[in-house]
Amino acid sequence: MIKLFAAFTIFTVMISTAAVYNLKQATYNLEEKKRDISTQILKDREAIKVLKAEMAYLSRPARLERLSRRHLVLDSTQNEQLSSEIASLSMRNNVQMANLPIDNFQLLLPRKKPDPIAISRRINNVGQRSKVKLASFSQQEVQASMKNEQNNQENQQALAENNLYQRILAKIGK
Amino acid sequence: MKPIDLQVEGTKQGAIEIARNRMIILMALFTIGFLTVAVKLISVGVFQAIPEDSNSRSVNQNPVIMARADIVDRNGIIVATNLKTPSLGVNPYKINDPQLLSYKIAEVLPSLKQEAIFKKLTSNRRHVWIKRTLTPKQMFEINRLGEPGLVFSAAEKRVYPQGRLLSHVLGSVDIDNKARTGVEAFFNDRLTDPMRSEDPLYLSIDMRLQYILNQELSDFKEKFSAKGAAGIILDANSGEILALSSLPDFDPNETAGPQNTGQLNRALQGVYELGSGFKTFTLALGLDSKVINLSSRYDATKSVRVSGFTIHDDHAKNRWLSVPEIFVYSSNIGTLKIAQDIGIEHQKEFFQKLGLFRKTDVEVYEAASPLLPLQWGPTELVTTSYGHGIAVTPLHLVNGVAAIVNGGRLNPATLLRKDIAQDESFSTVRYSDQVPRSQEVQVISPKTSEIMRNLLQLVVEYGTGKNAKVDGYSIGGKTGTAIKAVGGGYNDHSVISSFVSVFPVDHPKYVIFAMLDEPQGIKETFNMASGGWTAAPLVGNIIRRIGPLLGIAPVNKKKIIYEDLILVYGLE
Repeated sequence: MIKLFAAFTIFTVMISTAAVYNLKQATYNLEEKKRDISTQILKDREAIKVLKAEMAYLSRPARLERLSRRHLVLDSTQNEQLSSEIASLSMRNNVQMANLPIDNFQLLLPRKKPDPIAISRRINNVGQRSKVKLASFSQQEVQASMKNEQNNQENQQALAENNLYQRILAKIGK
Repeated sequence: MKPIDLQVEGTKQGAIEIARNRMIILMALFTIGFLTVAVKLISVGVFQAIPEDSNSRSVNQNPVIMARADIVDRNGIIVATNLKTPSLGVNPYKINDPQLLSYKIAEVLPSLKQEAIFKKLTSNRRHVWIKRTLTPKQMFEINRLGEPGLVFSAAEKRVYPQGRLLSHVLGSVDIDNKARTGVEAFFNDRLTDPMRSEDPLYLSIDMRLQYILNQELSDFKEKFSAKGAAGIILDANSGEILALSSLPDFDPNETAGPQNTGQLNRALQGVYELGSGFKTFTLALGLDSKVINLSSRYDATKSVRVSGFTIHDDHAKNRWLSVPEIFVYSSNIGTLKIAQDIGIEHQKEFFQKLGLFRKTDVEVYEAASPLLPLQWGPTELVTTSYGHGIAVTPLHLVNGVAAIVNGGRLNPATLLRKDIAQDESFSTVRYSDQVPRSQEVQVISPKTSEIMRNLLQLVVEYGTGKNAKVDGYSIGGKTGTAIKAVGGGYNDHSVISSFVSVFPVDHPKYVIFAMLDEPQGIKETFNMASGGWTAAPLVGNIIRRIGPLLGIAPVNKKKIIYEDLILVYGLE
């Protein structure tokens, strides 16, 4: 009986020692992994710092201006392009409102894709025209719908009321 | 099982007894030994903690990088950062063929001469620096040489990605990253604080405005062959400096080379007699203390003698002038008569209130104190009224004008972004060492401030500041042309031309100042070098460019309230 007990004890001790050793080794491995990751984080942080500095260096205003002059057809904004009140805008038909009242944003829904043939035609035409007209398809659709609406309203409303401001208010539903 | 019991007789029995006893002792010893090992094994496995690796500890506690925090502008654009850069050293004892290696290194690092490298490679010392701060590409090339004697050691270098653009505000650090001037020096403790090395220091500077200011200043400096130029854009309401530039400037990335070129910060360090800009203060005081009102008139028919000096007008009208006319035509005679009515005590007290008698609150150590007259007699009373005999830094003037136009509140000028509570506690601590940081002070009444805004607008509309006009914007401003004091006397040919302007004038947001040091008249300006011809168009250009950038919509031209009080004739 005693021998059996002794054998069992020795066996248990061996097993548990092995288990503890195993656990310890696993922990050590994890520790090593953690150290590697820490080193990697440091390295990455350093790299991010370098990239950030490079970003700041490459986006110096002087360089951006030079590149913009070379590659873009854009000029800096002039103050007459800004306006603080809607009433000071002219009554041109193709005027698109940039800022509708805040609580009346249109929901952006997926639209029909533009016809690729039409696009290729458009691109071919660009070369012939001297000025590129910058207007997206969706804008044109909106403009067309606004024009339709305007035609409908013209029959109903007095001409004097039919300026841009009222059209927009009508569209919003006030 | 029954143990075999051998019975041996006689002397042999004794021998076996001894052997058995020895065996037992031996076994006991072995058992003890193995038990010790087992116990130790278990105790090591179970109870002893894994030793923390020294390497991983250092990783967690102090990051190797960033011994100095970044500095960013108000929009978060990096203007100063620390980067790890490798430095190349050599152990000459490990080099086999210095001749060949020196040629190879000279090829990778073209800035070094082959002879110089050879000399270093054959030196007697154990370690010699070949070059500090290599680029990653150069490091790669050197590593490719595969020479074991070459060693790299990483060092941190302060890098200013924006180059010269913000040099005077930032200052610079020396080769050991010790701050020398500018914000770097003033906030040295904050920037080197290990607890805060991760969060950047936000400046009030807006790099876009800084670029525009810098570019226009250098264009005009060249155009009028001026010796130097300075400009400030100040937020009129908060006192934040949005742009500050001084030419000539320096590249803070270059630590080597002559240190004295371009180091003078004309906007904060240089003190100048700024001339007619001071008339703004004199009139504001006169109107605020009710010594004059807008319908007061003064005789400016002929020049005046004060204590032996003859004072005359640059844009003489030779007639009686109303108060708005005195300001619009920048009449020295009219202004000095107003000052005489105000009196010495009042004037001194007002200048004191405007902060003209002490350093500005700006966060650089090199900010200069004004040069004041030794005594304040009748001569000083009249000369200071139009900005002579008192030398202040441009920031003094700009800060004062901001207070005059923003409703009378004098805010201390600052280089830190205000809306985020970043260094509030820190800067108060710093300031308490020296002078307590001044609080907002009401210097004139809001009513007077409104009158002054209208008068400043008249100057741009009809007076000396006409060249600053920008279509669509209402601007106010005052020109200044001061003859420079050279060697104890005044030299007519060297002037300081300046223009301080308020924009937009109805609800002032920005105070913009530009100054040219000794501009030379050119054909285009009919050989004039005065503030109205040189600095005013410069400020006009700046406003034309920054207005749309800051989203300031144009306004329709309105009638200026006191337009009727001035007499304009012909094509003046």
